[in-house]
Amino acid sequence: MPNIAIALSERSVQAMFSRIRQDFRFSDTDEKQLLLYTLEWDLGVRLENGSLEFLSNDSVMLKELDLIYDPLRLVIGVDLPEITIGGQCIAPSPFGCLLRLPRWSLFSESPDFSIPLDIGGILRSEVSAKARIRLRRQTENIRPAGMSPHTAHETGLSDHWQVLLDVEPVHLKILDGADIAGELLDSAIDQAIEQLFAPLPGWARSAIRSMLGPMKEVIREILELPDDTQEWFEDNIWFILDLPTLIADALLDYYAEEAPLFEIEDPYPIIGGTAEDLPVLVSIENAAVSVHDNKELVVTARIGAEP
Amino acid sequence: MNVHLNPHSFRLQTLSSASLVQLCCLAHRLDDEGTYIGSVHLKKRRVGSFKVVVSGHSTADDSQMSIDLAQTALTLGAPTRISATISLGRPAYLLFYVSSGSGGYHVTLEKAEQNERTLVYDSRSLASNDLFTATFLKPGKHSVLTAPGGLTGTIQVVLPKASDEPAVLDEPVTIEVTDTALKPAKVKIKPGETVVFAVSSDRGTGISIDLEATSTAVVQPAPTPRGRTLRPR
Repeated sequence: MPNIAIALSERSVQAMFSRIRQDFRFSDTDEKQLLLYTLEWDLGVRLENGSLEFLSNDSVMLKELDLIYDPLRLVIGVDLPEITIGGQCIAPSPFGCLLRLPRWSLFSESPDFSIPLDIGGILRSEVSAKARIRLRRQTENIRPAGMSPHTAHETGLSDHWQVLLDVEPVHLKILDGADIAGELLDSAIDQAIEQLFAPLPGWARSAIRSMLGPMKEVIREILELPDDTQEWFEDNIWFILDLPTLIADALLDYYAEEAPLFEIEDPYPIIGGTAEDLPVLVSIENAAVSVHDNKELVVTARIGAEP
Repeated sequence: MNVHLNPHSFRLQTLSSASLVQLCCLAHRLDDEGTYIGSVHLKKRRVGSFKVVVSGHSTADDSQMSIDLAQTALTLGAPTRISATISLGRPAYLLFYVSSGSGGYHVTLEKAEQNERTLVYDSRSLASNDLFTATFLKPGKHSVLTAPGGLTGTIQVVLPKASDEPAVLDEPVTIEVTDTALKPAKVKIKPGETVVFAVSSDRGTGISIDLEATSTAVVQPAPTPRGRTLRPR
């Protein structure tokens, strides 16, 4: 039979959640070589808004957290198809082609160019995730062996019982900003093409266009870029970055390891000390956490002996 | 940005069979067995060489030997040598082309017999059965002139209408170069297409092509008299 029970309302836990949410930060920088293009990214993520709701089975729902991408810098490196002319047969015969022209490349090597895209603070995703409430006794590893509980209390090196959230896999959905990001991407492609052909006179651009078709369409095809930019980000870029997994892992690391909803010092200073008297410390034993009737979060424990 | 445009392809204003550059080729037909020593010249300097053995009994089944004149000229001061055997089982051609650089090459060919070499070909004077090809990028009116002979013709390069689809490039157009005329004397093509000059004259002619006027007109070329398809004689 526990001899202490702490009950917290959903609103109280919500406030605790908001307090730690604002310190969440995630960043990732990497690049990936794909079949037809490369993608480099410099990504930062923070959280805003959202709510926490109690569920049954000692779980909570993290609802509609705004994921702000800041920064989100992408560099898309496109390998253009080699543009060659020639190669035709100029002496056909009943035995086959007797003489074939060589191929000339209009570029001295396979051309490639980069499309930089800086859309930090523009894209905003929404994430919701279920999380199980878990209690953990966190031992203070850096406390020197033999240190007394009172010294540990005074120097902040006591152990703690921590209430954590084990966040389950998340689903990312772009909330807004995809239209603006799409326009910026469109503009970035235009600029990249402009730079690519800047050394060429207008007639040469027209000639290449006649042989290749509109360059922009060629690039959109390489990038598998549909009209719906949001779909492209969610289905391609997020997939390449493996963003749902990264975010889920980051949320799990943060809420399940680094940032407890709240914690209770163990041994607990049940009566605070004064200048003359030491505090009265009691150990916390057999602690447990649960959500009761979707209404309150309850931590129960046995107050042990004075250590 | 890491773009490497091939600038020579876009600067060409003049093409000449006597001074081979990118986008033009010269094919010379060899009708006799033997060993041929070729020399590659850049202006007045000999910059490379090659050896070709033409054999009626070779097992080689390729009737074409392509020689990149830019490659043979890569090692300045020490002419590059390449050698190959082609078969006379079918008409045998040497195809000279320039893959890179500003070009300006011509080729001479000597037949080696016993201890003697006999000059049998100089690409500055085209022989009968030679094929000189030019591929055009720049829209406009290009004039053709043969010398000696003074035959003239025009090649109109016309941009197709802007389209979302790449233009379909037609097969090369062949112009026959006889002693008295270019047949046909006028052709119309699209950028990226090729004209083949099939020489049937023994006058040792040369062919030069100059851009007379740049055109930015965008017109779908009307069906034009296409040259005949070359068949080996």
